[in-house]
Amino acid sequence: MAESTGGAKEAKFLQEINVQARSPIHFGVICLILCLVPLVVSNEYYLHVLISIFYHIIYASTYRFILRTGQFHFGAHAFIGIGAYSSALLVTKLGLSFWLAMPIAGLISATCAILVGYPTLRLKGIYFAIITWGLGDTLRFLYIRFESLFGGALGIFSIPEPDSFPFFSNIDFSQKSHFYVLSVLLMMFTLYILYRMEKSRLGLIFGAVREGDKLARSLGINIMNYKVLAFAVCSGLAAMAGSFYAHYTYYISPKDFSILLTIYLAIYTIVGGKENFYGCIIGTSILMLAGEIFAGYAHYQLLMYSGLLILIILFLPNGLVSIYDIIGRLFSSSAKSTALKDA
Amino acid sequence: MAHLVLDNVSKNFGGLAAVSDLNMEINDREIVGLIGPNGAGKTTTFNLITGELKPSSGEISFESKKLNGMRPHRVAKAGISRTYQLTTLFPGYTVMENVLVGFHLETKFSFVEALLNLRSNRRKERRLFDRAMEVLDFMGLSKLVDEQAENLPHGLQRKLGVAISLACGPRLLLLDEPLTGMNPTEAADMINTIRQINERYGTAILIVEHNLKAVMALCRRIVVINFGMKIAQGSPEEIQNDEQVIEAYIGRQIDAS
Repeated sequence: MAESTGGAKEAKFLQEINVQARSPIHFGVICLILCLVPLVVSNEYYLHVLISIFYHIIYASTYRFILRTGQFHFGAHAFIGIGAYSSALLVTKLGLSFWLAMPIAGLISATCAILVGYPTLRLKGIYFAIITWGLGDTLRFLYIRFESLFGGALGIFSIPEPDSFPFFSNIDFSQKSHFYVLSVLLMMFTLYILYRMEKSRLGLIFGAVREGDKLARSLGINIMNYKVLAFAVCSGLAAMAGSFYAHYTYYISPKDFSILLTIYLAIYTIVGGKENFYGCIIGTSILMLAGEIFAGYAHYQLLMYSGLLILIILFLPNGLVSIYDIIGRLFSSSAKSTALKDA
Repeated sequence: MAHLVLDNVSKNFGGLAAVSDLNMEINDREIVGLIGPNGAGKTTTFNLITGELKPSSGEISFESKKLNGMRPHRVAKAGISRTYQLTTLFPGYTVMENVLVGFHLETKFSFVEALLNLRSNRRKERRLFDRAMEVLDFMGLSKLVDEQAENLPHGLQRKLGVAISLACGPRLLLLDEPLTGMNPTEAADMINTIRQINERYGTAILIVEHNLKAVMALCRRIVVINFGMKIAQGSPEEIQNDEQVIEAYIGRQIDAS
């Protein structure tokens, strides 16, 4: 490497830049591998589990990103609900194509996030949590109240599956595997955007807003705009996953978008590890798989999750991903001591 | 040429006049000290200049641009940067990241550019890295690039705070008690650094500090305020012999007769 400013060892920052340069290839390869899974796994139930893990990963990672800007978000269900309902209504009432309805649902949700964000993102901590929670539950009551539009407490039935893709008429969504590929693409798209936002200069600024908003402001950062940007982009992406959910399950009701959804997302995120980008991906995958395995004990699910959450907070404050770091440290320290012996 | 001008600036919190009718000027390339007993309104003055508080009356201008009512990030853009008494850095970030955030105003990048991560974008980041390295070299922190900011000893944390605001490329730097909690060696080092910043970058500096010896050594001109009012202004010698200043700091001698 030509850089010598950092002394003998290259600074972390420059190593990071080199990793960044290769990241599109990594994402592409992972995406391809995931897309090929249905060739091996033909069991519809397994595919279903994977699909639901994938859209929950989208929910959880967008949720985490908002947490990372220092806002205690507690209304993820509101924006997912906006996405699901608007997409379902656009398709059933206006007869739009799913491929149009999904991005429009994302835009609607992002617009709502901007409108809500400007006045409320000034609030911090528990106050912001109360506002967003309130927003989510207000929307839920709206869905129940306005029966003619939102279908009331029963929700919206028989939402059509995505129509076959414009140019590839052999892709229809009567088969699970097609939904599966769509969910993989959607997830990788979302994760790539979030990854880029976190690892680029934007991420540096989002973090600075979290670590010290006053100082950030005195350095010329318009903190409000950045908070709203993160809030809107994440809400929009989550809403697109919500739209996918609506068309995947053919049916949505207000109870799908209750506070319980956000609570689950918070559990996935914290159990996996909030600090690490891969934390909530791992947390979501493990907990949802566990949920499927112990599906017979569904009544105790939240109880078990809560117990796990407490254990994680007590013993692994950086979540399950920190196990990897701990093992890595064990090895590196033993490597160091052998190196010392050799010297 | 007058750089920063405070013209009859007042700030009232309810009935309390934190700053009243303050007139002050800072010229190009000048180091000015702002001193006064606790609660005299020094930090309030800083907050008024940087836009964190709005003055109740009066006018503040910088390079003949009006600052009143400007929001803090705008003031930073106008060329004024500051350090804080307590939060001077981003604790969870490495030293390098801290300084990189300081370069925010110079980085022109768009959302799309960040998403695509083009080669030009990476080249820009590298250039910023080198610039940050320069600043850190100048501040004597270049060996600690990958260290987490919160793990640094207090003296170095303070230095890093100054480095961050220096990265902003200010033409006026406001230092809020840069020497608090420092031992004599660290303080001497800091005083030296402040002087070097002034000489090398030509930055005008306004400094609030309780360590009067340091202020006397650094500044050719000192402004003393008490209860929000300016009570004296002048060279260190003049200040030291000013009766009102002595009264404000140690009190009046009770006449025996």
